[in-house]
Amino acid sequence: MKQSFRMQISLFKDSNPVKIVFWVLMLFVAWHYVGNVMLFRNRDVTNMYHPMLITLLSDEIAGNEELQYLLQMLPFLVVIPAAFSFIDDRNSGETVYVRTRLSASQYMWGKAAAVFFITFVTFEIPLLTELFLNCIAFPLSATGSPTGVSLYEDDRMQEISSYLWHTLFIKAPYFYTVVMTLKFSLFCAVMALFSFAVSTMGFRIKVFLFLPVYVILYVLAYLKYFVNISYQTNYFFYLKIFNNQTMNNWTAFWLFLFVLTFISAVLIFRYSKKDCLG
Amino acid sequence: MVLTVQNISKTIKKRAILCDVSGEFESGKVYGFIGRNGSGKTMLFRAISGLIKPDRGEIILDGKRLHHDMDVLPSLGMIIENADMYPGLTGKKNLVYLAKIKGIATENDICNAITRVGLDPDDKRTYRKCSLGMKQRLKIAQAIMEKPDIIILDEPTNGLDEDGVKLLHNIVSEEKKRGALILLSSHNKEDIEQLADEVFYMKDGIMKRNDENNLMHDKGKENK
Repeated sequence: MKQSFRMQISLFKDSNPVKIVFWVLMLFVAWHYVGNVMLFRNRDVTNMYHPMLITLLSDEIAGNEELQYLLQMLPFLVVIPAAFSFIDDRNSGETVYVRTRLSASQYMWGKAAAVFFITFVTFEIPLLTELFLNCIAFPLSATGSPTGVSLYEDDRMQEISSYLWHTLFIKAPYFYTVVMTLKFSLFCAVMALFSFAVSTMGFRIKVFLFLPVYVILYVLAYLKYFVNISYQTNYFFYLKIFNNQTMNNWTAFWLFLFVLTFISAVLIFRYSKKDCLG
Repeated sequence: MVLTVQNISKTIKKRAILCDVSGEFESGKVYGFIGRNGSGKTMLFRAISGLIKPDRGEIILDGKRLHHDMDVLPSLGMIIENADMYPGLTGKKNLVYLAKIKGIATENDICNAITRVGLDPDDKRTYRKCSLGMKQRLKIAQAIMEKPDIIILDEPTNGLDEDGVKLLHNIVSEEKKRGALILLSSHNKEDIEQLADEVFYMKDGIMKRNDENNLMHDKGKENK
């Protein structure tokens, strides 16, 4: 598995889709960051917001357009960097040469690990870059919130208590934001892994591989309107940071990721038992 | 090194592809396989390489059973139908990626293999832009770059010009001298007659050691 992982990683490093998605995300980060710099220049530190509350994933800023666009594009963006790799191998015929050197299971598990890792890193690096840039550009001593409500007011404390792992936020807001970006990238990596696993079912036309993640996420998002569910099912609300999360069901969110990972593992296992006929 | 194929059978979609095939192959020899399209040559090679799992029977290499004691043959180079390379990469880059899997072949070995098949390792053309003959030569290079103990060549002369065929003959002879076990199939009987130490004839998934009768029978049919 290590050998397959090593080969796949070196392939992804030179891959154009990985570079394209990475730079698209960097563009989102730059767009948001420059917007922040223009908005907050010359602002006194006493009126300034906490640097972590104004990041790209933060829902604290009213009308965070960049975040809305990013989340809308997300079902497509997660698939592009690595999820097509199995279709590429099979369509080109490379699978056969790899499988004469490695067992099918080593090949597939190594590939799955590489797909997960590359997607995770492709999303995580731009997000961490933004946190770093915010720390440089904005005063670290600022504590304000874009909501305008003081940290010491009850309303604000009530809102914070709705955040996932809110005690961590209170104790270490910087570390908390890093953890939330990791959660975001983990979500993207699981989606990519799922798309990759689905591609072993016989997808030959690449564009169709955009469908599984898109359909799942949007069916879930609109499920609320057809079935009586009391909590949010739209992925937007689970990926934003610092939004009002009282309607979120985090157990369902983690269970959803676990189920997708499990289905992916079953599909990969199923393929690795198959004969290689072409 | 002895590779034993022991009573293997394979059925795909209710059609018997391989029927009780047995044979013993030693290193330092070239074994030729002849037979019409669909006779089971490629499937036999797929079974030997571990790409397909036989329904019955065993592939045994020096006492170790494939799919039980090992997942793939430890040292194998192969050309087979439906196998190809990444179209957007150069020939050398394709070989470099494949070599990374085992980590045996150095960059020098890769360049050497490309040169041996008459190509330029520094050629910047992508695989997509190579001619059919050049692609076939690159496939031969990937099969020999790791100096494998077993080499399987399924129709290696496809797309090769006269010079390419001569080059392939030289490579097969050199690899045989090195001690590799070579399994070779070709539609061209001359290739088999010139290169093979032993010849097997395949028909409807059944493998027989070839003798004059078989060849005559086959030649007679072709003449008709």
